Amino acid sequence: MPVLQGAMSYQRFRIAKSELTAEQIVEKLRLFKFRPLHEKGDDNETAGWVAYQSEYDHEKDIETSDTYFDHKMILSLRVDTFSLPKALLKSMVKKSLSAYFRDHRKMADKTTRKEIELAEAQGLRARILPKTRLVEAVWSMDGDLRIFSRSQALVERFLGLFQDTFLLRPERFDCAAQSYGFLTDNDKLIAMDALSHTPIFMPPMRVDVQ
Amino acid sequence: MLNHIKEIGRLRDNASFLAYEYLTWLFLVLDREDAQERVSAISQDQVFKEDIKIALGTRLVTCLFNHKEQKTSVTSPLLEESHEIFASLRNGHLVEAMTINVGFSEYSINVQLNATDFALTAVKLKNNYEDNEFVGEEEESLSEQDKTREAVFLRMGALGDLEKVLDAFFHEFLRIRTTTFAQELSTMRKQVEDRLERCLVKAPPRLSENEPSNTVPW
Repeated sequence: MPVLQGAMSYQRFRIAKSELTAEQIVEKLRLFKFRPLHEKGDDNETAGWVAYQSEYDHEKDIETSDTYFDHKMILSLRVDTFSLPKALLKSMVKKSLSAYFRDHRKMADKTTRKEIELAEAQGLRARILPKTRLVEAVWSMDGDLRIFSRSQALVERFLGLFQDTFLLRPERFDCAAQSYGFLTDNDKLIAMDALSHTPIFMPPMRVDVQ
Repeated sequence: MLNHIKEIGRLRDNASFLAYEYLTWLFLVLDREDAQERVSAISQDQVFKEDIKIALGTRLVTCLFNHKEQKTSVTSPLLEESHEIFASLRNGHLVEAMTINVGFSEYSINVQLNATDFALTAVKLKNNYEDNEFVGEEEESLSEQDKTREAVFLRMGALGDLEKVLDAFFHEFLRIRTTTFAQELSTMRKQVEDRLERCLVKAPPRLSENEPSNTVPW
């Protein structure tokens, strides 16, 4: 829970100022609420919004009082992934194929082999828990968004879902965006084009010994 | 709107060196003797705090801009005394990541600045609210929701202040970068040379091979 306690690592984003009220935001969050993976389903990954501070209780409804504090919306994204241990699956399939050969006195054909693989994968899936990852973000109503994660894949997932939910695309507020803002405010964008990397000291020349 | 996104994308591709140059400049500014005056001048009017103090932290990573896998990582309670940092800068390295401590009147923040993605990482907020004995009683009377609201208010407020100060420093760097950078560059070069020389003078002298040694050979 980086928003409330402990060390924080985050990336800054900017969003166009939105006219949405807290209640409207929560309504939209409910539309893209987290749905858990079904043990007999085919999907290996699911992602959605969950109630802040009740991230593992996916049945809990998202309420405004749980997410809206001090003109800031705390968003909580949950991503669940099923990752089957490939070596174990392979060994189980091999065992089943041997049993099939023993029972039927013939090798399994391609279709049967596929069926065995699928049955073993589903059996294994029912026995393992999905890996859960959480991403927290704080959306200030003045347009700042802080995403508390440094994982590129998770941040992209977050941005994709954010865009689907609110039809708004947050823009990364990194060195380039900050430079652009400063340079346009000071009419120096043309001066920027003339800039190139100027090292303080040149790195020593590398001489490859043959 | 599209043009603006395109321009930022272009800067992201062509001007990624700015982040590395900025962190190198910031390290050298904070290493100077007049660092506190400079900090006060730059951070003035940014936040409603009496005085902002910025000091170097305990970790710094340098790398070659064109060969980023060649890194020098230094962890030391006194980064400014580290010979390795100045030696790596002298060898063409730039600062890729460094920790700093930003002190406000009521709290201080340790933060690692990163040139790769401009993310703020390992942000640790130290305040004295927990030490206050009266706060303990008040805290008990607060509901869970009020406690959350208070924590969000304090922690996000602190991050907001930190960002304002850091943005002011980056803007100052950009102002210098687009105007008097040649002059600043020669100051930085001289500073690195001087600090390196000072670090080497401080180190114990080595015995030359021809010089007779008074020490017992074993």
